[in-house]
Amino acid sequence: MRKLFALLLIALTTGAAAADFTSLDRSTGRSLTAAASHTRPTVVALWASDCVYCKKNLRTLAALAKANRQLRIVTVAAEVPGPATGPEINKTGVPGERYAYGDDVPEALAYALDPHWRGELPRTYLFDGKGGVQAVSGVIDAAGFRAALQLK
Amino acid sequence: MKIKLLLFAAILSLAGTTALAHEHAAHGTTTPARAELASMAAFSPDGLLHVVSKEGAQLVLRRSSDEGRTWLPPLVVNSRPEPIAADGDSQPKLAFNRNGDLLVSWTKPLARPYTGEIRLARLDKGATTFTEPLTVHKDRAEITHRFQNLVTDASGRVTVLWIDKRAQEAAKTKKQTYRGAAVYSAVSTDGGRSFAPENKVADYSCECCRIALTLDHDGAPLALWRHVFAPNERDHALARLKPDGTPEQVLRATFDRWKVDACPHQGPSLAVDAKGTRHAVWFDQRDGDGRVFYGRLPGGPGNNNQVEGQIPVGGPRAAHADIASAGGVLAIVWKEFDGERTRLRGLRSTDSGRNFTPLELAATDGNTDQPRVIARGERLFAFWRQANEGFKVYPLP
Repeated sequence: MRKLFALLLIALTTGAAAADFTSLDRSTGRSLTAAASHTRPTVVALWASDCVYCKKNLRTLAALAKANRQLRIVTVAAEVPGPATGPEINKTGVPGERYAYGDDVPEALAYALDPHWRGELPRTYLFDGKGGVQAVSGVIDAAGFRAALQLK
Repeated sequence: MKIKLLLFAAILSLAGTTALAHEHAAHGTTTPARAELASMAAFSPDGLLHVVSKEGAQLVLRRSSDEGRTWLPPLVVNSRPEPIAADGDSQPKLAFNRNGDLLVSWTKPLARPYTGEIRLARLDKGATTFTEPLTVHKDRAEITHRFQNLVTDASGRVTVLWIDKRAQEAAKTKKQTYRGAAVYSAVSTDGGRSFAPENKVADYSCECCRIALTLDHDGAPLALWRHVFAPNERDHALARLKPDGTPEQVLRATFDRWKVDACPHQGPSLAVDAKGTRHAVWFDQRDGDGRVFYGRLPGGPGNNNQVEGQIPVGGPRAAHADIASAGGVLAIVWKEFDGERTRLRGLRSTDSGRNFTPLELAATDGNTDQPRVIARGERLFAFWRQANEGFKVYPLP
């Protein structure tokens, strides 16, 4: 019985922690996509839970992260988290800090992230950690990620 | 024992939730609510403004005889609460039948994420309660039926279109590839009381954009949607429908050649003027530049197979444009974030889209829905729901 309780407690807490998102604010949005903020290879991946192409990218990133310990991944859900948002990102296995849109105006958050981004998802920012950045809309394959991030 | 265990588990999970809520409060990160501002407006044939929006698990109809300054007591569309999609391109829609009956359609999300059913309820002219909603399609699989739109015609026919993933799901089962989703239609010849079995209008639509739907010069339903042309060009397709909802003709309508595997979340809008010319606004990326465009589409009287008069609309952050034509005026409205506020801007043409004059209509600090252009007889109005200002109507010159 006690064992069951312990298991239940673990299941509850890990489930909750994995689905936790930090609400994005404008200044965090600006710094996340500023090349100067990133001194090691970093991917900032914008996604939404109804976007199948986004989850393709997140799964590729999950695999890349396993092979490249120095790679930093930050995800931003371009939606206010609903019941599906946590489970959908958990399914992809992508690690890293998790942000999501909160109470602020979505257009203002989008503008803070990137005035040139028009809302299409997935949208991905690839930082090589040496001041270089590429912004890409759409699906990126593993080779594409490796080349842009200068990973092996 | 089993019951005791279940009870313990329930208490534990409750305790867990409370603890989490406290933790959130301490960090100042309480879960924000989804805005769900997506609303739809139209004037009835007798000139009353009708607005449908979501409140909790219900759609609510508001009516105003003075363009939104005062409102009649609201009516509930679905008396039995159910999930309702009302966010961005997932919008409730409304249309009036030839006898003045009001038809309201919406997407009811199902348990599996991003699945849904297309629902429709009717308010008979003079009635004070809506009919029990019905599901428009026969297919009851728990898959995507979303992004619905509807149009009524002079014969009393009601045509509903939506994005449907049954073909995609079938391809997935056979381990075949399938581009995007499909567009399906269903037709009612008894004023929305029942619908004939649905038809496929076209394979390979985009998955996440609203469908534009209006009547062609001769009264045939005319639909415009974001399509995925091979291999992955997200341009637009235009379909004229037969009375049974099957396509008479499906044309490629835009040629911007945006090759991308992504969800733009931004569907087009379509208007046919008194001369039968097809005017549209749409979002696309052309030569690497994402813009909202205006253009006259192929296939109308006097149009050839090209887009004519294509111009970018507004600035580089113009979004979610709508278009309508009435009384010899063609009007476009859209929203545009200027770095601090979201603006409602417009364009007006009296020469069928050859020349436009700009309109600056409103600006707000808060969250907003997509704007619409609506007609009352020969007059055009902009309708824009703003979180801070409510439902606002702007008469257009």
